[in-house]
Amino acid sequence: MELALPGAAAVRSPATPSLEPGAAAAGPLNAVPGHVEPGLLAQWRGRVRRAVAAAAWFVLAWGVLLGAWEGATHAGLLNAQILPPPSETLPYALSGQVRIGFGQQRMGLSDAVVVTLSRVAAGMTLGLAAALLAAVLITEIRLMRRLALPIVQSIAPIAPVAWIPFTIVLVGIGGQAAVFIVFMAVFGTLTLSLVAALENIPPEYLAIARNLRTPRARLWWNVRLPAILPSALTALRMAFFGAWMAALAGEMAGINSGLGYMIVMAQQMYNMKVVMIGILAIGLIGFTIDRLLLGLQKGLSGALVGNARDARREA
Amino acid sequence: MPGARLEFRRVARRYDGVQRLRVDALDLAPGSFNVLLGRSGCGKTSLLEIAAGLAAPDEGMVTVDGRPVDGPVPDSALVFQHHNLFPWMSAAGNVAFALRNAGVGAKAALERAVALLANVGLAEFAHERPSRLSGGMRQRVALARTLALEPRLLLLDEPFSALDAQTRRLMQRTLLDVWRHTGATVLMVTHDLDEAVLLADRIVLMASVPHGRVARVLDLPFHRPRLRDDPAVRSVAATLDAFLENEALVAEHAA
Repeated sequence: MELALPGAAAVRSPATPSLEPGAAAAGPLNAVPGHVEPGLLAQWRGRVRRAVAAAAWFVLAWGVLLGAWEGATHAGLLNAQILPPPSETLPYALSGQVRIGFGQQRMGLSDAVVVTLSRVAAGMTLGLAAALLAAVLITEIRLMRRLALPIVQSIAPIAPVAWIPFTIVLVGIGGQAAVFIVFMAVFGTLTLSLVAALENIPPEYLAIARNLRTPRARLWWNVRLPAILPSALTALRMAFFGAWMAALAGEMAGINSGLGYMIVMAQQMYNMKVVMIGILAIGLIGFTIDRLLLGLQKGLSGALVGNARDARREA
Repeated sequence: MPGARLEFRRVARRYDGVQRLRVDALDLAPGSFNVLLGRSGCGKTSLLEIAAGLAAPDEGMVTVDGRPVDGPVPDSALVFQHHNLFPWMSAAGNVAFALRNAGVGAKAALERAVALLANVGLAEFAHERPSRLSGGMRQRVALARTLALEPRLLLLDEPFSALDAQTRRLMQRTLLDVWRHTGATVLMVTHDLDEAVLLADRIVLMASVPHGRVARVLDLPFHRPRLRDDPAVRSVAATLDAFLENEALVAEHAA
């Protein structure tokens, strides 16, 4: 199709000066992109200051808690056998010598963390891929919406731990079982979130895409998927919590490796230092990954929409 | 390419079994500028959606150059109040997206998009994301996209309602230029009386009681550019104003 437009040349010509005021509107009346507003540096400085303050409060809050704990132990208010004070736990945690178990099942903190994290990563990757496929099919095919959506809706609210006995019978107590539990923990909720996000795309986008007779593949790749990316990332962040809990619960309930298993084994051997370290590791890793996902969400949404501020507001 | 001839024949729309919109006959001449004017709820937007082939009427039909509309109308272009541009694409990317769908190669589409944006005074902003543009600039990108498509039918749903008065006036002028240069038939929905009298060849006044319907059709044979202080324009505006006020009273009474 020849799209050279004879009118376009005329629009450009001085014969139509009425476009000029339009051009002028791009001038001082409107916000000029690319131009650094004087407030921008101050804004950035303010943001850094807030981040530093938040970090300082974080450290202070933990300092107070650990200090109180330490003091209470020395004052004889806490039993050091059951709640070992931070002065014993922290140096041990940082020594890199945290080990528990015997023989083949003996493992260190870092190995346990790597095992659990890789299960979460594998389960979430599979879960996301399957949820995306399901959401696309449910959106595209009416029969799939009618048949698959009710099932997904009923599966989503099942607590991930409820899958553990079933999974152990089905898959055994190996790593795949943990991956499967993580998968089940995220698949339902992710699918529902993605379907909802697809339904919430502003109708104007789809009307315009239809009007432009966008081929189906381009509609998905260039319109629908970018449109839902911010909410998909939010859903993924929420799903991570479920996945993280599910993997640990599975490891505590029979799967014989990973961070959850380390805690259970330490409890059975009455090594409360390792129990405490395990719990702290769960919190710290969960927190760190949540922050990383939040950063990814902000960064990607900002990159897509060209305005990180919008993404931040949404987060 | 000349504008399309658009004809509505006994078009009706129902919601929950109740007839909400009925237009027995409405013809839009090729290349004419038509405005659908009425209070909210009178079915203006529904009529536009039916014309665009985005929604099917429950009864009757719309034809474009005699061909019944049964899906998105070829050679038509849409402009809405919001969300005209995909925020994840640059201004030029949005225009190029339309060209790519029409089969233009990636590189040629982008070059052409930049040139079209220059036509509406946005050369410097071609590579900016919509979020970095003002409301008026975004609507100008949407108009540049319609230029790219050489539409024979230009459908606008309150395209300038979200803009401030000054920007709106500039955009109305840009729209008239786009209309003149594409030769398209325009169907524009608005509830802005001034906008209607300044732009339209024909104003289709819609009423909402007892259901959405065409109450009157006014032809405005005045040359452009029009001034709102022109006595002829003012007299039409006064007629419209009286009609809309009466409509509001009737609708309130009915409710």
